[in-house]
Amino acid sequence: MNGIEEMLKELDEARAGNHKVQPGHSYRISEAASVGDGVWQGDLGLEIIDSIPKGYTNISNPTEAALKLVPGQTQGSRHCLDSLDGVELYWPPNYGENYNGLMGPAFKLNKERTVKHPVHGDVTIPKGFTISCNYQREYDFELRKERRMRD
Amino acid sequence: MNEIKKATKRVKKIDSLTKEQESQMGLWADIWIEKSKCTDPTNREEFEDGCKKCYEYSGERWHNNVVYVDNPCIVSLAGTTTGYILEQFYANFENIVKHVGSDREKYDGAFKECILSNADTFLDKLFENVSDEELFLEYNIQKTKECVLKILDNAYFDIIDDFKAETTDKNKVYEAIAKVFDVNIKLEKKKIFANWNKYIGGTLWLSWQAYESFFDVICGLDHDKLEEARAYRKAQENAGHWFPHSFFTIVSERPNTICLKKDIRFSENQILHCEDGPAFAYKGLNMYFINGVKVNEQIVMHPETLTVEQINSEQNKDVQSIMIDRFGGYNYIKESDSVCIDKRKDEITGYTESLYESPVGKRLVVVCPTVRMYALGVPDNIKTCQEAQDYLSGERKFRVLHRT
Repeated sequence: MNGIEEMLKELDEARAGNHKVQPGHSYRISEAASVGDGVWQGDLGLEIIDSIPKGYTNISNPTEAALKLVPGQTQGSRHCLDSLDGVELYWPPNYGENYNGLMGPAFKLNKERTVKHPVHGDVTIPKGFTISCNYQREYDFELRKERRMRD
Repeated sequence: MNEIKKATKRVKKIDSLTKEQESQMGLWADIWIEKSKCTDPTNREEFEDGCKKCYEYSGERWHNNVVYVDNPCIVSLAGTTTGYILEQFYANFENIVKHVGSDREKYDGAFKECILSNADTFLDKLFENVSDEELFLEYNIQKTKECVLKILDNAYFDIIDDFKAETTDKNKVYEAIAKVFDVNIKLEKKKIFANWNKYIGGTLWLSWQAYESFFDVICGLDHDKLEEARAYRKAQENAGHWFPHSFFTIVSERPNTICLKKDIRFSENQILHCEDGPAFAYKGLNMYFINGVKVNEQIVMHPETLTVEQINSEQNKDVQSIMIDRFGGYNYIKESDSVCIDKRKDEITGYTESLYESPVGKRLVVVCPTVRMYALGVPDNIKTCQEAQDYLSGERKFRVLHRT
């Protein structure tokens, strides 16, 4: 069993535009989605939750910087809300540029909003949903510990 | 092809754009995007004309001390360093002034030599222990030193002209000059390099000029700062990065290479990309990009020399994905002695994903919807692709509706 040849063939097909999932295609979460459903935008998981997790702090006057939902300065961290209009934003404890946790901001939407990214497809979320941002993790063999994935 | 229709009359106020003006916006943007991709040598005459007017309009004396360098790295390093040295001069000014007498002219050459010699030693010490493979290349350090010394040489009369004192004591002047450079470089380094970002971006920073010139050229808008805006535009359009200072201006050449390709996602956008050389280069500064992601020279020019260890230890997943791609996905699996222990089709993306076991741990190899291959580390106890995905999902597992 060796999947690599298959994967490389699929990659070639996709790069030629012959794959069902096209790069950069956007996705809109349906109003019919329910708590426990979610979408991965690259390494950012957007999960529908029923309430803001305990210990989170309401950011009452968020600045433009709060549009960014993943800490860091790399291209991969540029998962951003299109606007804070209609967004009730909450941050986990110790959230900031050097935050290493796997649970990011959470927000309630009073208006439909879109999470954008320079490479991955946009994800549009209808109003009324409460969303938790979850970060993908990875195991580092050299350090023998897990870490938040970064791109 | 549409042609630009320039304003035929000047107006003092605009309440709204006409349809014709609106229709020119896209074309105007294209013109300025093309300007920003210019790789021609700096037009020194035009730049200096614009720059000189900028000084005049801002009330600054024109120093006539413009030094041209090869790249923006030298602009930043030389700009902040020379600025610091001149600040030191003025902090110690009184001390120097009181020792320079009315017949100082006969010592001018000696004083100048003393300043340059002290500056030379100071710069050697400053750059002794810096190391950054890209920015602090020996070439750039050497050119930075040359630039600083040239500015001090040119600015000498500006500095010394302010020296007015009663007596001349040559040795005291030498001592005072030496004191200017007698700083603890280790402690002061942060301060010396603090102003590295006080540059203006030239042709690589034209968004404001594109905007304001639209109202000037297309709409014919007159306003109080029109001449100032035109002067700034003229300087910006004709050079690379520049570092304006009261005593000098350092100007970089424009890049000699800019390789772009269309963004796979946003067809109107272009991203830096070159598979057989630097995507963005100046003399003394090469920068490598693949699909808009900054990578190192080895990944672009010598991917066959990459090792599995290098690929696995790369923490930036975009860079790692490019490394696997350049090295060859098949080679990566083969050379890491990996054995596939599980594979399945991801129902959402339609791509195959495989879990590999190797002497240095387990990795789930996946293809992302952005058409990149990733090899993601998972712990030893993981046995299936599903378990690997559950682990990678972080602290919470949810029903995945889609991946983008």
